[in-house]
Amino acid sequence: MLHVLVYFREVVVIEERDEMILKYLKLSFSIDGTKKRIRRLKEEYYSKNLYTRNEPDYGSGRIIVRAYRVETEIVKYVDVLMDLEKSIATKSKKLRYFNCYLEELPLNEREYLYNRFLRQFDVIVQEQVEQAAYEEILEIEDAISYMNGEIPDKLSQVEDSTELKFDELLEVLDL
Amino acid sequence: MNEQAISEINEMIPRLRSQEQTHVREVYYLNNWYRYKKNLKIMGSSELKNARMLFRALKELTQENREFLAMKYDRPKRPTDAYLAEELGMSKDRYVEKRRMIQRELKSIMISQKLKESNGASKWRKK
Repeated sequence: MLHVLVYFREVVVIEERDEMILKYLKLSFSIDGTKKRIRRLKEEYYSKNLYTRNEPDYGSGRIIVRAYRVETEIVKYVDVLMDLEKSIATKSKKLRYFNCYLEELPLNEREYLYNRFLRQFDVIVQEQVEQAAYEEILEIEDAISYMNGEIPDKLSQVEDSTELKFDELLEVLDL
Repeated sequence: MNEQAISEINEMIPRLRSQEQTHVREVYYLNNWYRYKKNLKIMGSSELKNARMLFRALKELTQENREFLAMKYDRPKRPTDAYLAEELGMSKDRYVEKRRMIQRELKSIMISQKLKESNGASKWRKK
């Protein structure tokens, strides 16, 4: 009982940088998760009953016949399916580029990232390694959003907007 | 209503509309300069529109004039005219005169840009 209380009282604050690095290190798990979701969605959809059914219509006070609405149900199903498949494609692209980056790193730095974020060991924090990984991640995000035909959100990358110079401000606002 | 009154009202409508469009208080936008920068991430659409309007007009000014205005307005707390005049080494009246001149220029730019935008929008709607 005590453990649970201590667990709940502990407030864990995760910084944006740490969150992003953790997200990228766990990408393969999240791809598996979406694949599982697709499987479950398909199962759910194909186990539906396509028969007509009787329902009371409280307005007129009669019993009416309702049928499975093919058009709306199919549109919903296909939309969700396409979204999930697209997200898998983007995630696997991100994973590929991030793995390329990890392969370039020296062994001790790669080991450090795994120990700190995935295994949650108590290690001495190396700011430089984390910052370099974060910058690489931001670059990947930019590249992926260009690939999908979107303009990357420059505002979210700005840390302190009061320190911006005028030209940078215009660039951020697309003027 | 007689015809004369109707024709007078018809003449009044475009005039009032143009007055509405050309009414810009540039000081309002300038006073919010620092706040626009600070709250860039959390601003709503209308405030963002105002911020874009200000920065688009400031872009047209020369760099020297823009920095002159930034000395007063791009700060968390605006210093007084007397203090700034002393810092620049000119008299207070001269400083205020110069600042107002630049602000008038900024105002005319803002009005022209606003008119251009509204004309473009109305043309777009007609199509």
